[in-house]
Amino acid sequence: MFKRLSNKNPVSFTFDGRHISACEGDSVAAAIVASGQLSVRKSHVSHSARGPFCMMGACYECLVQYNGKTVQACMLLVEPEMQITTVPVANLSTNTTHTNND
Amino acid sequence: MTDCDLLIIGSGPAGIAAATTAASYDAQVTLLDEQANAGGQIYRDIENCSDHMAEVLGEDYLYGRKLLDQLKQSNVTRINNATVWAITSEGCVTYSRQQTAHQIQAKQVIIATGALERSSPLPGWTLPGVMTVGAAQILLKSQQISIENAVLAGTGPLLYTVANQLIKAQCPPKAIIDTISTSHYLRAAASFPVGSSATIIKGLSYLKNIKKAGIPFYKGSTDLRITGTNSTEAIRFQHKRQSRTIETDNVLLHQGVVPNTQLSRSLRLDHTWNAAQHCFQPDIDLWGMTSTPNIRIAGDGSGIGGALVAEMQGKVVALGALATINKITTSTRDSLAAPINKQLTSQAKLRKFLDILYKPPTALLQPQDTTIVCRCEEVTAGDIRSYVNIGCSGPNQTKAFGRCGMGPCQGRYCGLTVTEILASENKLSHDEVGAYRIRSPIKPVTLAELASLHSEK
Repeated sequence: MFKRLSNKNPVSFTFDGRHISACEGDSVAAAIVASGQLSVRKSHVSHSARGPFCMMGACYECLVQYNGKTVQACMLLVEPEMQITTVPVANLSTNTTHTNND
Repeated sequence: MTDCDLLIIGSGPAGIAAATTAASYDAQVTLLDEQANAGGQIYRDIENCSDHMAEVLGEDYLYGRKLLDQLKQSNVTRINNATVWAITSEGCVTYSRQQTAHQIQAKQVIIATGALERSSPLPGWTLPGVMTVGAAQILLKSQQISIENAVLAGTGPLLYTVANQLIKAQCPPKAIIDTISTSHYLRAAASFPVGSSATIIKGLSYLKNIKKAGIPFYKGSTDLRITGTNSTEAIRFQHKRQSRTIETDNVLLHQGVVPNTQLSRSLRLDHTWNAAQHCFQPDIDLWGMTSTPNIRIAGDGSGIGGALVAEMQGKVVALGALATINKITTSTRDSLAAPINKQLTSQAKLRKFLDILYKPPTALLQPQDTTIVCRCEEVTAGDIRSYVNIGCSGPNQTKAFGRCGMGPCQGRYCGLTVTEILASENKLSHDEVGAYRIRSPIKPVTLAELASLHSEK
């Protein structure tokens, strides 16, 4: 269970249409988990649920879609009325990943 | 394209110390950081720390204010929210900021990109609700969000620090599942660092606070397994020959930290296996110089030493760079570095003790067959062993055999485990096995970002 130790200026946004109340300075990943939702996407191989893991921009588990781009939710600060959506599973491997081909 | 004398990548303790040292000798310094504020992960968002959070996070964190003040008073050019994705041996660094790419040409580059938490591949570790201990601390530092009833599993100084911070935040962990075996305590005792009593006393006080808070502490636990269907429901483990299950929504894993070598690997710099720390580290000389003369590395990215060591190394490596670009003489460099190097020697004794005590358990270095090693492409330890049976000899071949390491994290969280498994299966040394070949862009970039370089002059 996540617990806010302070409630600064409230900001609200939506994730797949669901209203999420956040605080100014939250990353989108932090705001989503603090709202009680631990999973943000499905893995592209087995379609198993995944959620934020490292919170520092290294693991790419918290990928979401914003303004038509796939981005790391832990590296994106909340802004009022932003519309975040889940990354479509079928598109994950073709749209976002740079591949090392050796 | 802009020019500067010294470009530093990463504004943690090593990067800040290097930047302020270099700027004080008249060098034109640019400091790039991927995050919104300086501090690195250790002093993350120190600038915004409230009085209440200062109480929760403690004095070691608040020490970062001193570094930040020095940085603010310097004339270092700071560029935050800048993700570096390419670097050349000639010192040209490419980064993206707000979807636009830029390039800087530097006479000397210092890579100060710090560490990543070591992976803890165990059954169920990809379930939502499982995060690293470091991630929980980032939520405290950057968002003032704490976690109630979490179970902390693993070992390492950060685990006990965060347990104490959660206690101070009135969110004591539900349990701590500690994976140090008793034999490590005995072996570590033989290397007890006599001159480092303050650090040891602090560590013991953390353990005492955990006990005082009444948190169940399962020392010497093995066979950890996280269970749940769509998210974490429980963690199971063996403790004193008993199977135990603790129900929880949040498991926080930690097994120490390892150097983040993505940039140094992308430059094809020489790296060597550090057997004591179970990880690769780039080869550097006394002044942080790598096998490529324009590129230096300071801080945890060159081998784990912790925040205070990183700060000292940042200063020494900056002095090395200053001498190379003729801002100071080599004799000035040597005399300024001598007292710092003396402190570094004493810190090294403490590190040796910590390395023995917190050695990762074999079960995590060599996970069981069904455990996922590459989280992105869902490749298990058994898959990797099966590649060996049909002739796979090195980490790069695992990509061709089963896409291992080819997902968006680019091998950051599976690379070392793949090397460990291949070394063991092929009966080769870690250096013989080697590591993934890392190529730029070291972070995914869009075509629009690439194209934006065209308008840069």
